Amino acid sequence: MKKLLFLLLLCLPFCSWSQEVVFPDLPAWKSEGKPQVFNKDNLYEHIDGAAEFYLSYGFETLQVASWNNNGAELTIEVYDHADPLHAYGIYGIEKSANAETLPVGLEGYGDAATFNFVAGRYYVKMSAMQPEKVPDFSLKKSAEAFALSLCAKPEYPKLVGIFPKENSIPNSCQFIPSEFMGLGFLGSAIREKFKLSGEEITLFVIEKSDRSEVEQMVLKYISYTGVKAKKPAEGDLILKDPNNGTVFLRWKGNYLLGATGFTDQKTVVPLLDQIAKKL
Amino acid sequence: MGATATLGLAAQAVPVPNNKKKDKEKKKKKIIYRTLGNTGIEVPIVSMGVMRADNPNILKAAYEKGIRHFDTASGYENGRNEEMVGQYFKDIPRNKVIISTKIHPSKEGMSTEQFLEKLDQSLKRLQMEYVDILYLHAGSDKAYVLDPRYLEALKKAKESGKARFVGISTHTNMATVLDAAVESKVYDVVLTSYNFRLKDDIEMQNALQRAHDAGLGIIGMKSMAGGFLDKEKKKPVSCKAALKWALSNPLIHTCIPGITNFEMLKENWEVAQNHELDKKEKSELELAMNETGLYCHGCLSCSGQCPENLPIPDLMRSYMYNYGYSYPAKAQSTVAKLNLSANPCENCPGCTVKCPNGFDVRERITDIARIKLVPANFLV
Repeated sequence: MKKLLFLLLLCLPFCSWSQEVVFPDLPAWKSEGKPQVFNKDNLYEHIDGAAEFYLSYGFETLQVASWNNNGAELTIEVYDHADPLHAYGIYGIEKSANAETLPVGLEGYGDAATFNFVAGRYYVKMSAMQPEKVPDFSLKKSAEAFALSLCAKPEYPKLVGIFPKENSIPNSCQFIPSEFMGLGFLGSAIREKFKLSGEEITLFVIEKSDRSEVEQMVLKYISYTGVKAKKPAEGDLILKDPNNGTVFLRWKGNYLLGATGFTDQKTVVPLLDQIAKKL
Repeated sequence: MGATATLGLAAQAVPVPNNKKKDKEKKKKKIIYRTLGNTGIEVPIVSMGVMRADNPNILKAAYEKGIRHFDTASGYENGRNEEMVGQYFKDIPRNKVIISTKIHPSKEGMSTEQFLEKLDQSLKRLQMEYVDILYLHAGSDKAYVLDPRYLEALKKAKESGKARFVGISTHTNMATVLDAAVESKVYDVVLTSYNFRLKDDIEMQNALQRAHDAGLGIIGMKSMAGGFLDKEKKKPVSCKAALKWALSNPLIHTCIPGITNFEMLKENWEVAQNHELDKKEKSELELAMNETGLYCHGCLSCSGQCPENLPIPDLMRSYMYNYGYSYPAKAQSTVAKLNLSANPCENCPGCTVKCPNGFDVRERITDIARIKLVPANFLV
């Protein structure tokens, strides 16, 4: 039994379980008291209307701790998003298109006054006001140390690195947790954008627990486009989606790959081939 | 599907009827428009909250259906939501849409100049020279609404032409915010939470009336009241019925339901043509309204009813923090400030307090007052 439990634990991605968040010990700074805790029901008290968006990414709790030093202020917000995929998702959707990412936690970016990173199931936002008043203080260094305490070995979610590297638009890989492309039956998806032949093409991967779920999803999509649906088989399909334009789909096992934004399907087939090989 | 198959709808040549323009006008006439107070802006009663739309195709579909007012904020997706709005609307004539965004000063506050810098960032992301409505985001008290730094920034934004109109958004203490907005003589629009749970909130209704009479545009949000009726989140609110309820009040000029999929868009847009609740929707909402729920509306009608003069609204709020928000530390600190015994109802054989929302006041007080006995370090 112990062996089985151990094996099950090994199957879980690193840092996917909840743990007590221990805020960093910052000797030069004076703590402003116990961290504030927000949950699903009162998150809006802290971030207003944006709360709805965080909730859609599996938000569970937020802890906010603050410090001060000689007029400088430091605030750390730790958002727990239940698992590394959803944490990466909310981080990715908020990441600026021009962000220069650094290996802090899984990944992070920022400057002297703000630093955001993702580590395991946590999305962390650090902000400092007048940090120059504190000698030798570096927000990035503090972020590195804190990230390590949250998750020692963060890993990219399974499908995030699956897209081709060539021609990809930086910082465009995003996890959409539900209603992908505005269609409820598609559920969640990972997408990344590419610049090819002057076009902005979006590639995506949808993973289901088994192939029958994919079959149902494809059937629903076909009938959504107004075409009488036949029992589909694995392979390629082009649909004229009334709202999303021409969509190229490739069904492989429990995955549905796809592309939008192209004019010639020859552009996207080799890209989907590359992704399919990795599945 | 072994080989690539094209199963989509083939484009078909459709003859253009001569009376197309007439049909279009006729179709337009069916949509209900209201005017946003003294701004003079006429909008369909259904607008769109863009926040959770994951791609510009939803914006495109909404625009093509006839939605004209789109609401975003600088804080949504760290500005990327504004980018998406800008990306889609850059090809649409600017005077065909009403775009609003919001700026939220950090808790430390910000100067007038910093506020205006934020506006410049938003305009850059939106790829626009101006927004139609610029909101100070999330007001919940009078001091914030009337903060001279922000009023100055809003005035300057208008003077410079970067905002045609200015407003305040609120989902807490809305009546106070509405009144403060009227008092300021600066705001043109208020974006406020408004839903069926507020049906008996006379204070709110009066504040809406005062704002309307003062010529403010009033835009509703959160019409679904959180989306669920119960704490287990198993009883969803009918979004169409809830939207119709909000718009049945003529003081609400338009609503901005968050639209995340094409199905929802279709449902919401139907309301723009008919906001009359049908029999089924009425009974659904009736049921929803009769759900006692966890939320004290703060109507204050219990004040003065208790022979022990207990501060009932504060105690009901504490109960809501504990059971509604799962925030016992906040519940305890609220109860502690009231300086009551752990069983303040023990001297009464029964309870004479009547709550219009059907709360069993004695039961809730007896339950929540004990929280003061729990050591603080057990609570979060």
